[in-house]
Amino acid sequence: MLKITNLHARIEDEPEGEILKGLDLQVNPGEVHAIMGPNGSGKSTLAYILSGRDGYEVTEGSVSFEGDDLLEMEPEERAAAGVFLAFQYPIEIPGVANMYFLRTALNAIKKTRGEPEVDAATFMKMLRQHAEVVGVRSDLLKRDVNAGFSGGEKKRNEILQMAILQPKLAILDETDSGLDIDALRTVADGVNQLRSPDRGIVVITHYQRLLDYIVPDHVHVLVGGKIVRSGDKSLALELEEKGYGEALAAAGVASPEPALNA
Amino acid sequence: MTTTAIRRLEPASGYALLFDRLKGGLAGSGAARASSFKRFAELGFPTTRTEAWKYTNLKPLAEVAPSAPVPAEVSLADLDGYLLTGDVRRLVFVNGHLAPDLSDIARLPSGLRVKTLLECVEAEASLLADVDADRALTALNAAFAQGGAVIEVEAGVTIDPVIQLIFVDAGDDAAMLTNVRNRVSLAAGARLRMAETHLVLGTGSITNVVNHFNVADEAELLSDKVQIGTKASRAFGQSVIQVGKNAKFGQTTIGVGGALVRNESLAKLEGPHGDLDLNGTYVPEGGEQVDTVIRVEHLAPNCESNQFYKGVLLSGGHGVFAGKIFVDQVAQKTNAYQQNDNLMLSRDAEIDTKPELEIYADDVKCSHGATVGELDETGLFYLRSRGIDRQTAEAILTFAFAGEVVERLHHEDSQHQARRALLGRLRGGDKLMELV
Amino acid sequence: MATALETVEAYTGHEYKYGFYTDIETDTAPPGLDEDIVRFISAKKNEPEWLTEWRLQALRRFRDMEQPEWQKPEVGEIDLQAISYYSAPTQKEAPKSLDDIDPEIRRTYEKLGIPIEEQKMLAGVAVDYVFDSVSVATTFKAKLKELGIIFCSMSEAVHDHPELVRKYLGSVVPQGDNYFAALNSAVFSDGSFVYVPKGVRCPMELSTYFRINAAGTGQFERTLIIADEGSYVSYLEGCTAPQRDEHQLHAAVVELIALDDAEIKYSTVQNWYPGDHEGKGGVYNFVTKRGLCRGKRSKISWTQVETGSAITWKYPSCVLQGDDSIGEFYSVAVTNHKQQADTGTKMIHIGKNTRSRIVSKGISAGRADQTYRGLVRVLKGAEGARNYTQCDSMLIGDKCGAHTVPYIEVKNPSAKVEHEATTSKISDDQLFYCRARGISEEDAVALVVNGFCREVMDELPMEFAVEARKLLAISLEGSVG
Repeated sequence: MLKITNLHARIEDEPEGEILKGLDLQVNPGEVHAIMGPNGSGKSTLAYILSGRDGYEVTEGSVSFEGDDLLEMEPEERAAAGVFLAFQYPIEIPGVANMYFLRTALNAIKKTRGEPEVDAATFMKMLRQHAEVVGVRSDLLKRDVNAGFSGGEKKRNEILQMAILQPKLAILDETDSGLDIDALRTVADGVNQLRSPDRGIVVITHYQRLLDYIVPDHVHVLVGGKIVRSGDKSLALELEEKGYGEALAAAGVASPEPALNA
Repeated sequence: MTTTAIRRLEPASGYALLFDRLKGGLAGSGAARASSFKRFAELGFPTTRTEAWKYTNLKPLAEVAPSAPVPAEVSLADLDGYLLTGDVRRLVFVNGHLAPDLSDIARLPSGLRVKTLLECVEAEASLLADVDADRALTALNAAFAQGGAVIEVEAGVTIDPVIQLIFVDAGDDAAMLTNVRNRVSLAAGARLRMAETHLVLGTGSITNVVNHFNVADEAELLSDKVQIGTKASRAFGQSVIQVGKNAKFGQTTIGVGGALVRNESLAKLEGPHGDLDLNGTYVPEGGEQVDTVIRVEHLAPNCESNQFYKGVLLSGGHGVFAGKIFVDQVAQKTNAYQQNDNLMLSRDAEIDTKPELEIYADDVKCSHGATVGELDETGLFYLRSRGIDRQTAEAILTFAFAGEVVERLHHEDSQHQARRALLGRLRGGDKLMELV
Repeated sequence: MATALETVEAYTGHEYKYGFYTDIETDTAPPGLDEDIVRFISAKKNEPEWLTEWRLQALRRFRDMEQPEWQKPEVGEIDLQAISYYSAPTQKEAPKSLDDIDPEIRRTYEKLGIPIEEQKMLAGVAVDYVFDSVSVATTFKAKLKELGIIFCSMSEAVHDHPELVRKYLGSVVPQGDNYFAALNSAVFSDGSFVYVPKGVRCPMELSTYFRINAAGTGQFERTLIIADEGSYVSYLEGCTAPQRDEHQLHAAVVELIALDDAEIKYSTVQNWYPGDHEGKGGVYNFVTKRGLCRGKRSKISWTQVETGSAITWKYPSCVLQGDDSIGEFYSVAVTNHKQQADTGTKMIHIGKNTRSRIVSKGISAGRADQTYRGLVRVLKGAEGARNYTQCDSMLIGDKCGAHTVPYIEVKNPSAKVEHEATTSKISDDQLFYCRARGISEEDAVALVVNGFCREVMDELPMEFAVEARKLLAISLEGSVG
């Protein structure tokens, strides 16, 4: 469903600093891919490029999603097409209630797809169910989007959004950062519930820890803007044990590049 | 239309008489002096219908018959307590004229030039140029000013000694009009610290000061300003401040005393990453009025400005604060802050505050706040429960309130002067003198 | 509930939805302003002698005044002689019931979404319909009458309740208060009159819908609301005008009086024609609105959502005379394209322990310019006065301006006054986050702006909050991208 071919990209205002340097990746329905890599390897850049954030320039290569050119689409069109990014740092929107936000998003997507919109009662029922599963307290639904949420609450809220929007391809950008072990488990449970034969999931992470709970089908090592190794879940364990040193050396990179999008 | 009439106060004939009398002896171009005076006469004094003067009545000033500055005997002993110690060079002006015996500008470090206005004005007519063409008091100053300093620091030089400018008005004629004009220019990368001390030793006077500070790219100028007035003195000041790229200007003003004191600042951040810091405190009582009028213009991106002013309004005191932040369309990434807090300690005090924003760029952080209130009763109670009498407790808390501004004076002696002057104002303050 | 999304989609292609003109026969006075025209208006309305005199006195005061120029928006001299001061739909006789109303007028209000039929109205709202200079209909009159509540047009009140009108007219905004108030006092045409008797809580929202229709006319309505001891009333006004190339003048006066323990809540959703994108045409909205908290523990609360007009000067104010009285001002002002607004409030603390609260949210987009101008004045006797002001501006794009001009004047040491203001923009991160969840950029702007304004929107009566949200979205169309 997702095919990334020879992707080169850089930050718009920095012509020198190419971050992705020929990345290839294919994700098929039903697969869970983990992308691991040290800081500055280009993990978040990949996530942002896939979701259409401004400020990045693709200089070479292509990304197709279900046969369409993903890079030509606006962020909201990608969302409607079924691409979902769980943000590493979810954004606060003061004055906008969390549940109102989510319903607006859901109906916007449905409308684009030509599906009937969800009425308030059905939506509330659905929201409560999912909220319970991912451990989002009901008062957080009424509060402003992410405003005053703790780190863990923000991440759970992202997973809740994912559960409601039911994407075809979910990209989780460092969803484990800042979570304690309990929260990690709840978040992982939420993600596992969404695993299905017609859905692809890309988990971006620095540590192996999350992969104990979300077991990937494929693991890729991203270093210096390229995938340098791919393997099954055992690769993650190997990395945990040996660190990224070997992978870095193999890529001909002495040390990680500075974090450009931390 | 009557609009102009209600916005203009006709200066009394005494102003023209004084100019006719003095004009033969004024340094510089006679034609320029005459044209400045003409400009003043045309503008007239502003009325309270002029927005910038809404809370300030200049009628008494317009009606006065001003008199010429006269020579006066002032000794160093008279300045006791106001002379900065340590590595200092100073110029003292008495009634608007240089007092060479009290001044000390020997051994100036290289890269620093300190002259008097009188020495320079023949060669440099621009010293008296209108820095603000629409301000009557500035035109009046351009017509009469003889006293003042011209300070220049060469590029890249850091000056160690502090330059102190002392302006003393002495005598028993409250209608005596002294006009002073200073210009301080720092070339690129230069650094200087200075202090301005304004002292009224006699009954009173009318002081009219215009300062022009030009801080070029990468330069830094820090200035302390202490103003001590009397019940009858009137002081008007305008500072025009230009700040270049990566440059910094900081000034802290402490004013105590004066029937009417008005400090106006017009600061322009002209280059990117400029930094401006303006602080002040005022403590009017018994019929005194103190105005602080500030306009900060952000004309380049990435600059930062801070205005921090605190007022203590004692019995019969009237404070006016009008601070404006202007952000030009090009000045993206501006950070501008302004805070004006006022403590009202009497039933017959008054505060009028107007913190204003005018913003034309969207990617900026600008905020302002203003508060008016009394002393915190819980704080008072806490002190009293520790055995401190109410009056002293009030003095301590008031002193602490103003103290946040005093701390921003860069010279320790300036801080000391400010603390003493403040405590001298507060009931029960004498008991705290030993603390400062 | 309609979302901002639906709204924008529903109105795509419409610039100003209410810009149509109703072709009906009108009685329109020739342009010009003099004593004769004032007498003409007064005679048309069959007014008592004292009111004719009152108008003439106002005209004399007006002649000694000048058009103000202290406001931020610049406006040239307005040629008051070119305006017609009276325009009314021609009618042989006054309609005896709602059924007798001219079908064209009826259709106009239907098009505006507020049909003149009680059964079709929003439940629980009584409406007074003002068309150009006169009130054409008032609904639910009978029901209100049972409770002793008077809700009628000002013209009717002059005849039916002269004692109340005479006592209170001009008691809050005197004839010579300002240039436009003086003009209004001389030529005011119609408006709404409300009296809520002692102890009565008005069970429904009262509303007036103002419509300027005829060309070359000004609208000078006058509204007077009196809440007697212990009563409560919530009142809402809405306004629209046809799209025209020339400017139209709207100079209204609103006076509110709250006696002991009474409360008046006054909400405005202002959507006069703002002019086109280049600033051609549009309404000059210069109104004087003032409430007097005359009684102890009385409360007056102004809420306004200002999205229309080419130029707005408006400062709904509270004079807090009664001890323990409360004044509130909640405002959202949106300016886009070349609109200019200079708006804010005045809170005058006279009585002891009076409290006021100001929440102002200004949004500027396009090449628009907006000013918040507010005054908090605490007089010597206002022991224990409290004010809190929060004033936030949001800029969308780098060609617009936002200004904050608060005046704080305090003469009592026990007063506590706090003012805070911020200026910000919609962050790119917020927009991207919304878009990544499938919300279009324009809707994302509307969503974030609605969030920014929520504190004020929450103050609006339920029925109108929805409409107000839509208006915000429409006003900001085309402000990004």
